[in-house]
Amino acid sequence: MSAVAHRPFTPEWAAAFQDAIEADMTYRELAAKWTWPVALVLDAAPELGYPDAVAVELTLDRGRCHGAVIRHTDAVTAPFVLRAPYATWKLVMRGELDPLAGVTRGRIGVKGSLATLMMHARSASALCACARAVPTRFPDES
Amino acid sequence: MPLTAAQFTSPYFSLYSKAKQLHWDPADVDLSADRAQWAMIKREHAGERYDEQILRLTSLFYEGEESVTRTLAPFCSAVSRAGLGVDKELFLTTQLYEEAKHFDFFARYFAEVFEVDGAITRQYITPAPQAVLIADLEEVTERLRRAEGRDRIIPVFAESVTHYMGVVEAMLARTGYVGAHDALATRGWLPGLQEGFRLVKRDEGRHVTFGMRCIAELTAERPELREVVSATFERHLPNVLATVAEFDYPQPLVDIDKLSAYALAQYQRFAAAAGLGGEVLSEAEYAEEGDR
Repeated sequence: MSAVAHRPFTPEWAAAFQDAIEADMTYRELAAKWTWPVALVLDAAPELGYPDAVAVELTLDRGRCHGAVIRHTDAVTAPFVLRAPYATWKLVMRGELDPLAGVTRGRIGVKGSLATLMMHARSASALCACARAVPTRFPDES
Repeated sequence: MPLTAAQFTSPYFSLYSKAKQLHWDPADVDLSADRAQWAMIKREHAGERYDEQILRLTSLFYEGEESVTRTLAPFCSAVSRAGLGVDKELFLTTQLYEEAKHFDFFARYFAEVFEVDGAITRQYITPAPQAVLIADLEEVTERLRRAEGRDRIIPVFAESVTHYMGVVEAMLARTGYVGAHDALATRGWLPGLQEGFRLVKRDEGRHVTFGMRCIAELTAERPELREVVSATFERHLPNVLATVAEFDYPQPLVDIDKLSAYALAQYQRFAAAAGLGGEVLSEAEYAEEGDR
């Protein structure tokens, strides 16, 4: 895993995120039954250098991550999409907001089967916890 | 239809027996300290809007208990018409009596402590709880009442059990009672309401256990019913989450994250009973709900 910090939702950050997921044995165990790609979508934040909404699409399968690609939101094909503004994703990446609590409080929007997502809540939390291991340069702090 | 030897020792008969042993009367709950404390909460905690939060919580319970009292009767009839077992019918008679007692308790609490009638509860029933607790429950139980023939009754019964015992009682009611009881117990407030919550929650545990056992039995016999269970949760989860989110106040009375986690755990247990997610509940996990 690269020690260089990257801006979130960039190709370099996505690659480091994939590495972090692959290296996380807790996630691998908890996500053993998760077989669907997931896209995390960041709302547009022009003031922070994100003129349009952007997605990182993760090819997840039974605890593994076979790909992490930055896409325009129109190109997302994942059956599960979690969408939130920058401030919310920052809280999640820092481990200050559990993603399911974010969904419950309406801070994170969900597209896809909520019943399936909630059945695998620990897997979703473990996935987001992997982001904590990614050296991240938050644009509002630089 | 007679009670068979197997039914006499069935888990449903055991739940029925437990209900007889754990009888309580809403009129016996001591509310003498609550009225003065309620005045103190309104006077000293207006800034935190704790009075509004308590009224919102209890209004949901009041309206919810009224709704489940009104909509349970079709279950008894459907079980009889579909020949699902006298032991289930016996248990449902205790549940109907208990739902009426819960409604009775909250009606008494509003009259004697809040000193208002139940009409005030309507102002706290926003579209999300109105749909999941009242309108949609009425709709599915009306379909259950009208269903004819075993093959048509059973899918609607599975949907009704999932909605009533899985969504309303497990995810909303028991979650709410746990959160509300903890919030009041931590502050030492409203001991009569705490006691009511404790007794109601104990009853609801049996009801949820009944629902989980029914769903486990039905889906084991007819695996295609798993799709009915899944679709029912899918349809109502957004309104459940929206209802829980209504307690996300700037200075919340209840721990919203704990509430969400509890609701989620309840959903996962019920879904697991239906065989969704590939997990099978142990006997101890069923007993945990019914015996508390």
